[in-house]
Amino acid sequence: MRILLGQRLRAVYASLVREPVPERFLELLERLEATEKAS
Amino acid sequence: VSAQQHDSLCEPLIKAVPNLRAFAISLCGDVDRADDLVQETLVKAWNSLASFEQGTNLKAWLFTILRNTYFSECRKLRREVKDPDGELAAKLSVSPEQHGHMDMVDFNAALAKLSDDQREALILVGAEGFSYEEVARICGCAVGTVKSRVNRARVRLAELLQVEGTIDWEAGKTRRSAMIETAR
Repeated sequence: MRILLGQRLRAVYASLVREPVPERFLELLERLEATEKAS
Repeated sequence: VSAQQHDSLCEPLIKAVPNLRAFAISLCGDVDRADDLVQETLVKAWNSLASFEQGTNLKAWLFTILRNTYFSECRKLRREVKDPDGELAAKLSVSPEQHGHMDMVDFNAALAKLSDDQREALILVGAEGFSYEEVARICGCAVGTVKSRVNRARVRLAELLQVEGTIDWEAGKTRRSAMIETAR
């Protein structure tokens, strides 16, 4: 198998990007938005 | 900053999270710490929205906040911990369970052995696709510094993965000299 190192880097990175976004970030932004509206 | 501006920021922030996470994991090699970094970045971005110039690159701005947060934490840790190198090296080894593929684990282990600034530059240019100029702005250094960091990172990574010959990092090029044979 022949691979370019650059392609490997992008593949490894892309696999990280594809990971599902943890709920905590959606909740965090909802919280920030709610605080904004309350103030 | 108006509530309206915040409303319009919410969606782009969420959209940026997967890339911020990938960058943070690549930087610190630790998913939990990466998530804390992303969270801190989002809160800082939210609170300092006034300093974001509309129409400029939001992603680059967020990456700047994240890397500054990471490196200032590192400096703090270095002051507190006597043996930061050993500790960081241990943290940076990614377990096979975490990322499955053995080949990928080798690659991540090699990536983790690069210095922080080299790894950062390589990821931003080689994986995120920022230009050298953008990376220079993100990292607060000269364009030439970014170029030399990226070059040294490539050479070191090739050494670590025991790749011989010239490596062509540009996307889409398939020069023979750019090819490497993997042992498996």
